[in-house]
Amino acid sequence: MIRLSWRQFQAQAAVACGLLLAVAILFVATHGHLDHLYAVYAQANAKCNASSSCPGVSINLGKLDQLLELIGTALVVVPALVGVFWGAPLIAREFENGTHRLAWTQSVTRTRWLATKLAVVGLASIVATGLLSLLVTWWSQPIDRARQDRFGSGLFGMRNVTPLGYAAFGFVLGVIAGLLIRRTLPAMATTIVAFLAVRLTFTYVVRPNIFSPHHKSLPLDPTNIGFGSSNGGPPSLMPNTPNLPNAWIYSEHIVDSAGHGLTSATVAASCPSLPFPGSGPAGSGGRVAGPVPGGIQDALESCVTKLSATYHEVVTYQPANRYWTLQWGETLVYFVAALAIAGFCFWWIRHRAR
Amino acid sequence: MSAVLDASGLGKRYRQRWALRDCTLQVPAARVVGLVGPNGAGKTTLLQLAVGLLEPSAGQIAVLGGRPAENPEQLGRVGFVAQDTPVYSGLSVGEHLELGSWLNARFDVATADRRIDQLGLDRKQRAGKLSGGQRAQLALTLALAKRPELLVLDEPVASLDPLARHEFLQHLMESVAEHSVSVVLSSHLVADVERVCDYVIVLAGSRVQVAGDVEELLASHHRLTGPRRDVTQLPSDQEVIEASHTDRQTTLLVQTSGPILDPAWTVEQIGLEDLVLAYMRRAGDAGRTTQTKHLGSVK
Repeated sequence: MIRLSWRQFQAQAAVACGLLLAVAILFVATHGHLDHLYAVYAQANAKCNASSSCPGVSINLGKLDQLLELIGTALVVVPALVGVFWGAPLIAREFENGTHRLAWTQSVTRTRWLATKLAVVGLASIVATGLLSLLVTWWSQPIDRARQDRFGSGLFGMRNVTPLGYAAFGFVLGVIAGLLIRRTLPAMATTIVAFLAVRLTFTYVVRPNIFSPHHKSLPLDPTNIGFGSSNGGPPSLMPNTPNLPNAWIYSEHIVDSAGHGLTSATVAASCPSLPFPGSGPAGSGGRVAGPVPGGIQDALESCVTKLSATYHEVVTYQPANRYWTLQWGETLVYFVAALAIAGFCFWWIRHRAR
Repeated sequence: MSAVLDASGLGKRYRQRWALRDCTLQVPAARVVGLVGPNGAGKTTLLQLAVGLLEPSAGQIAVLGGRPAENPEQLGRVGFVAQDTPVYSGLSVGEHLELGSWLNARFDVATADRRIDQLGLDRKQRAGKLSGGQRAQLALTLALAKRPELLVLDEPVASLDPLARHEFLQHLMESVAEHSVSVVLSSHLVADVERVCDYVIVLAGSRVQVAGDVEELLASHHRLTGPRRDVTQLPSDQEVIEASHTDRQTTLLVQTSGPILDPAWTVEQIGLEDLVLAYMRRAGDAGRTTQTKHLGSVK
């Protein structure tokens, strides 16, 4: 049965191997260049830290590097593709062509038939995604080290072990969709919708609530606080981003000792010299956040100094050292979900499928 | 006598509808059994229950003394050619033979090879490119090379042209003679069944109407023609399967184990086709009657 499963999977496996090889060649060829870029960045960063007036530096990627970075971003869709193109047709195609009647009447029980198919293609899904994740994680190391934002903008699900869990889950999701729907195309569509729903729910609802976040109080720093408004709201002081490398920052707020937020009205009352709409020449609604240019800087600094007597900044975040716990934990959750779905597939194929 | 197929009270229900109902029957070994009936009569359901593709909703079925598809050994003892003879269109003919040997411990590679040669099939050709007849032959080859004790075929020739149909049945009969395997095949064409089968089961309206040895059935069914009369007045051992009347004449199809003694009847032999059709019509009438009754009770 292993040989048949492998024979049926050969073409898809060849495509996957070809793509992986292409990515590997590209990455190996360009990795040295990235290391060089990182060295340049590290030097500039050290210089910047030594000076007091440097707002910070970032790694300077070329056009090609940015293009290659997209391959890393593609890793986020690979588990969905695995579910759609490897999982969904696995059984649906047999139903569609009636070949399950041929397969199930050979001298192999359908439990073993399913087990072998799941093992061969499921393992391939995990290995292929794992290899890609390994390549991407390795290649983007210099960029990730420079950015210090491992939890940020989807990166968490595109590095290290989480893609393996997603791949296992996406694959069995495709399999069960095919098993229940029995038609390839609708099963594919269902797979992608269900997969995205689960991934997004987990990422935005479950993951932030697994561990209660840490809170950190910082005094207001007159040189780093900005002035402006966000989302068209009334202008106020903008908290600065604290120096917490690789931490997952949920929010930054300026509050008083009782926990009440700093309002625009308070700022206006305490610091009349700041350009509020209608009160001064620069009062254009202040869409720009960040350090304020020109003579306003002095006004802002004295304002912040005044307010810092009663107000401070509170940062809510997950510390960087929870990264691996969350990585392995999330991977494990997806694997367990995959196993549970696979178990249901076995029950269904024994008692319900025809 | 050991039955290759032993069903009692067997039924299969899909949601509200019974596809097969109250099926009790014993199919003797070493026969070529034809399962006939109109489309939707439950033939495919019965055969799929026999090979374990379906699980019964009611009653029991034993095949060669075991529960269908219970374990690899049981699966190996029954060969199956499904309706529309499915094969893997992406795999070649040769790969199908390999597949057979991978999935069946007792697979007879020599027999399969010989049959493929006889059929003149190209081993490198993709199964998806085969004609309907060739595909059916490939499916039959796979089923036969399992060396099954029972071979089950579901409408194997339904989609074939007359020539391919003739050839397929010819090959089937040769193989049956060679390997002494019991066969159950379904068809809605009585002519095919008449050609190859020596035992027949008529399935209609989700129920078994009649089952038996073809010769015995033909010997125990007669067409009686005589002056018009009331059919309730017949001897008790004569069961009327079908009756039709004109003003002066009555024509009956009766089943009886004894001789017809009444000299008023002209007794005729009937063919298998007429016999099968009579049972199917009777089932159709009965179905309509129950349906009417059912509707009446709803009101």
